[in-house]
Amino acid sequence: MGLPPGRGPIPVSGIDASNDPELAKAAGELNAWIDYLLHPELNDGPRIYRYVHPKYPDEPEMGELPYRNPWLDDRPQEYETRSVLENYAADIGAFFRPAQAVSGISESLIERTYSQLSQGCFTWNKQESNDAPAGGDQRRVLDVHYPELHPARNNWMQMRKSWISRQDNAAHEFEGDFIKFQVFTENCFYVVAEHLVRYRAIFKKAGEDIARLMFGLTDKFATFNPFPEGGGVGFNFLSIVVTGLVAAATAVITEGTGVTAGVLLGSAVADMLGEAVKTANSTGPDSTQYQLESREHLRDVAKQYLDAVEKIESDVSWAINQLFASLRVEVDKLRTERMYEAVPGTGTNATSVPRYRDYL
Amino acid sequence: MSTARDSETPGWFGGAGNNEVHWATSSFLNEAEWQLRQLCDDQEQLVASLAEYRTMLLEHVEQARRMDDNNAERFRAIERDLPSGGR
Repeated sequence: MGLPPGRGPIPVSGIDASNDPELAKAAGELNAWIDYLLHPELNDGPRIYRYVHPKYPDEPEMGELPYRNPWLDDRPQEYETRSVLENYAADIGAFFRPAQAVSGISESLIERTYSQLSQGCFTWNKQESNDAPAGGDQRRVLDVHYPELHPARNNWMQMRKSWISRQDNAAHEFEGDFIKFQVFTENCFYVVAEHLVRYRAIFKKAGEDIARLMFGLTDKFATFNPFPEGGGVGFNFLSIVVTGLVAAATAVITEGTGVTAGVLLGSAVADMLGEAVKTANSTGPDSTQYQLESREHLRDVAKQYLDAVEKIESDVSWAINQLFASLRVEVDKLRTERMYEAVPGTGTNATSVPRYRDYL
Repeated sequence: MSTARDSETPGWFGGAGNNEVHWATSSFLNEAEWQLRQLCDDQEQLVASLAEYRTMLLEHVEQARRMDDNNAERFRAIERDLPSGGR
């Protein structure tokens, strides 16, 4: 529905159009509407006429009207004009704080760290290499999300073919433990990268949902009718719950035609959100219905909006706390799994990086 | 990432909001930074270990080359000692 008559958007500090263009647009329009509705004396839009005749102090307020009424305006001793949002005038920031909380995340800034985390070695296979692929060696590390792809194991084995000595056995044992340790360490880095994807996705989804609610509220402001037939049309949409993104599947590297490549943060986020939406059950706990029902008073519609955006902000906070916990759990699990037998046959596991000299 | 966490760099953090998200973000980035520090340390040690292995392999190659040279020289010496001079 856009802006109030004759008004332009009023930018909201902390909601940056370069990082969150849709949210900034929605916030600017909502801010313009709030400013418009808070000053009914300056326009002809929705307002409350409060009956203030001294003879009848207990008379209830007249109610909200969607436009100026000249007859009531001509009786200022009896009818006082008030804003439909007067209950919120003391804290307009409440409309924007949840949006500000989820705004400002820079994908390009996070990408710089993320892209370094999604560059592997033993979990990669590069096109320019003429080496044989990793092949079907029985010791190949496969029991991880991102398995061993690099041909080093085969190459090293070929290199040692003519090497007949006790050092060959030591080298064979060392290479196996080393590659396993390296593959698991790379997987640890990918876990951190995956958590950055989820972190970004949580903010992005929350921002999208808040923007939709903002547009829904401005629509309600623009089409206000206090006495709608059949209760009026409600604004609603189905969304996924951001808390569900904590464990959503994502991939930070891809493998195709024998070549691996890092996935850009933006693509990983888009794929993850797309998959989450696709698999969400509309009646299950992974989805939620946001709605703004028509009410007799716009302040009550605004209350629905405030409840919804505050819930989103809380969900984001909960989700990020869960990310914090799951990051530690997932990385620690991989650290445990990358351990190897320090001295073959003893059952004593080592947690430190394998060194060839310890195998001699 | 440690700079982002320490200075609460815009771009990594959202706005203040009602402060809930900000604290959660701080904890998460703190954990991520700590994990990355440990992993980078592991990776540095892995690189050092591989370099050590490479040095040992090069020594082995050098040793094998010397052994081959010695063997070749021994054969050449035998050849020289033959009455016909090897012909």
